[in-house]
Amino acid sequence: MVTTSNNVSELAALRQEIAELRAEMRSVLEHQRARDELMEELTPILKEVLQVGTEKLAVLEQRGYFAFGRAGLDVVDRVVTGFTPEDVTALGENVVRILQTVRGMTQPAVLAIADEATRAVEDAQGGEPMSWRGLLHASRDEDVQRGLATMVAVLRRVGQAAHRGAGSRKEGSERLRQMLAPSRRKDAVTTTPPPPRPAPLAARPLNEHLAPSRKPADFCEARPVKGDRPAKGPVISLPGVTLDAEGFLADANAWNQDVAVQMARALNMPALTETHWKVIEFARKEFAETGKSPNVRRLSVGSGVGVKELYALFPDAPGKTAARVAGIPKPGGCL
Amino acid sequence: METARRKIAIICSKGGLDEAYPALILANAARMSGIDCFVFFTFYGLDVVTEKKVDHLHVNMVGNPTSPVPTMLAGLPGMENFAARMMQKKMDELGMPPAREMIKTLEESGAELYGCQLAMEMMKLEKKDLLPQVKDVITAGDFYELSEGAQIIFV
Repeated sequence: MVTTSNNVSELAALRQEIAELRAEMRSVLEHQRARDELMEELTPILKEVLQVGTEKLAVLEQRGYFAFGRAGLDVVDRVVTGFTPEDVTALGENVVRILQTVRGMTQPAVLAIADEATRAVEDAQGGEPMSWRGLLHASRDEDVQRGLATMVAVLRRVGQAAHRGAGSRKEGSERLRQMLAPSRRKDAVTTTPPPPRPAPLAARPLNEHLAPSRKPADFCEARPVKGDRPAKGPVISLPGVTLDAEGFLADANAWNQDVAVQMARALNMPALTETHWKVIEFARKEFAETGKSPNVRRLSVGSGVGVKELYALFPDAPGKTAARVAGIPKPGGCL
Repeated sequence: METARRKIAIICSKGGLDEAYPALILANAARMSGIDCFVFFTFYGLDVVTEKKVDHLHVNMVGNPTSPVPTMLAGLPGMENFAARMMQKKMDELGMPPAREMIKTLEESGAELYGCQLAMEMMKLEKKDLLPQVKDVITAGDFYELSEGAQIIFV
């Protein structure tokens, strides 16, 4: 009995489940039918939409939008592969400058120049090759001159900018390196200079021996100046008269005829003659007037005594000998 | 005379103004300093003692890196004349006598001037074509005999 009652209760539960299932099935079927109906209604519309969309795309394709897009993608690709993150960072820093440049380039004056240049290029198509003469000739044209002036001004600015740019670029990369330092610890380690290697012990004293420290003083040794040259000339001494190291009178004012005679004797000259005195007088006069002792040529021209005679009258070195006798300083000059 | 007088032998082998004058001035200065001196004129140096050429010595600007005229221009006709005149003018300003007078002075001051025999034969010159101040025409061997004990300067 117990089992039958059990069976009955099981059956009841089963029937309830089936009933629930049927209800669910119905709702699912209902949904399905509703969807089918919706699809049936929507299909023509979707078809229409698809068709219109395809047509539109075809039109766009025809117009080249997609080619443009593909090309654009290529450009983007190239930008991505061709530029480093550093460049992009720099780009960010320079956006304002780029915009300023663009603005500057689109100023009417600049555009007018560019336009004119373009037209000139078009006009010049098929023009005659120009020779140097033609170039020179053209440079006389006022317009060409103005153009040259403009180009020179532009070039000057470009040059200045390039000069500045060389400096700022270095700064920029340095700054960037600092910014990126934490992520590039490896680089940072390698960039620190390795500690200097100690020289082998044996080599050190040898090197020091081979390269003795040269003091600048070694190159600056005082050369003997002209006045310090060893004195040349006959060793003579006259009583009561001061002579310089080369045997000339130290003071021209200390001279008198007596001194001349004494000097001539000390120099082993023959007795002074009339012609001697003529030469001596002229020499003293010349020295008094110009402050320079006359040498052979001047003596000869000025005193009227021939060169040959001078050599005979004042042996060895006529200029010097005459100067000694005349009590004037050593003559200079080459003639 | 004292013993061991200094002696100088100068060989003048070029005839340009800038080459003749150093020889002449050195010779003259030697005499002025009481040094015995003789000058040996050879090859184009003979121009300096040749009657027809002594008054027309020129200066060579071509291939002369210290000349004020660029080499390209220095080769133009008349440039040599012009340069010579300019140099002569500068020398006149300094009171430097012309070559002919320098030779005369040299002879008077006791310097001895010699012509080179071989060069004279080559240039078809005879003793009478040279200035009267030239003492003799000698050979290279004679030169060595003369220059014994002398210091030799080659210009």
